[in-house]
Amino acid sequence: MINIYNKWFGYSILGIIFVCFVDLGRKYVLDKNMIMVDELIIYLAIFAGVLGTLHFILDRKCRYPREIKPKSLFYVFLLAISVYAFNMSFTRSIYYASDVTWPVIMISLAAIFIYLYSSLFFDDSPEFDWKILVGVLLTVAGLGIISVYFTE
Amino acid sequence: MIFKGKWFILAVTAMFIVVILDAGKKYILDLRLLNPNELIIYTSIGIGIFGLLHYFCDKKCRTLVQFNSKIILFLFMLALMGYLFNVVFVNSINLSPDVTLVGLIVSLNIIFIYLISSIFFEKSPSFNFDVFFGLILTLIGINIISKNF
Repeated sequence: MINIYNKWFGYSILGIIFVCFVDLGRKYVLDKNMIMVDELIIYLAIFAGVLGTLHFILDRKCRYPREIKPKSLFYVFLLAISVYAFNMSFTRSIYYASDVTWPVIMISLAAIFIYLYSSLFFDDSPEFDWKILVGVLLTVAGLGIISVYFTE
Repeated sequence: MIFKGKWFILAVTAMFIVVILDAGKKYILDLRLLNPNELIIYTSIGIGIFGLLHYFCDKKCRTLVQFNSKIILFLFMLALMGYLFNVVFVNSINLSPDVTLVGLIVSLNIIFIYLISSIFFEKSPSFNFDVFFGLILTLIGINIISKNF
């Protein structure tokens, strides 16, 4: 049973709130034609970089890049590329979609693949369990039904 | 059928990138290659650098002085929310036994996104029993996962 008093659960709930703001906010500025898609991607990324730099200055425990193994830095570089690629795909997707809910439901399907990948390849993750996979599939199916039957 | 068109292809692409992203973050944290804060900081700085490169390559991108202050404030708030999301998400996947659990809980945002968009956005869907059934199915799914973990 998931312990809702665990820290990770609290962080996840906070994550829901922040991701709602971000997704709805992006759709809002794009719907109102306040900004072009590429401009939104560019400036959000630049601001994220500024916030990251501020965090670096304020966090005394953060090591300098020269103190980190090149392999780790390479992974971070790949992650940054992935985030940027995700931002480009996702922001364009919510721009073209009639409702922001459709792209979000597609993204939620990632849960299935993440579960399969982590349970098969990660040492720290629990062993693959069919019951859990059924749960994941039901969850995603439920989310899919919610999206499909939304009346516009 | 709603699941077609440009947005769908882009969303599927984004979905696969999310798999790489979330699994990659968990991999780095599990192997203790970086601590959560370092991961957040250096990923954000990397994104900022890519944003700058994109800015210099995109001739159509307006400079900040060409936007009104309201939009700049809105962009900054969005970036801040995105950064805070990154902070809580990375810490959550660091502490959770499996990255899937965090992904599942965060995916519940779709319900809130629907509710908020139906209230505040022009396209407002009304209550639908099929949607309610979908919600029950989702909750059953979450319950199965939580009991079997």
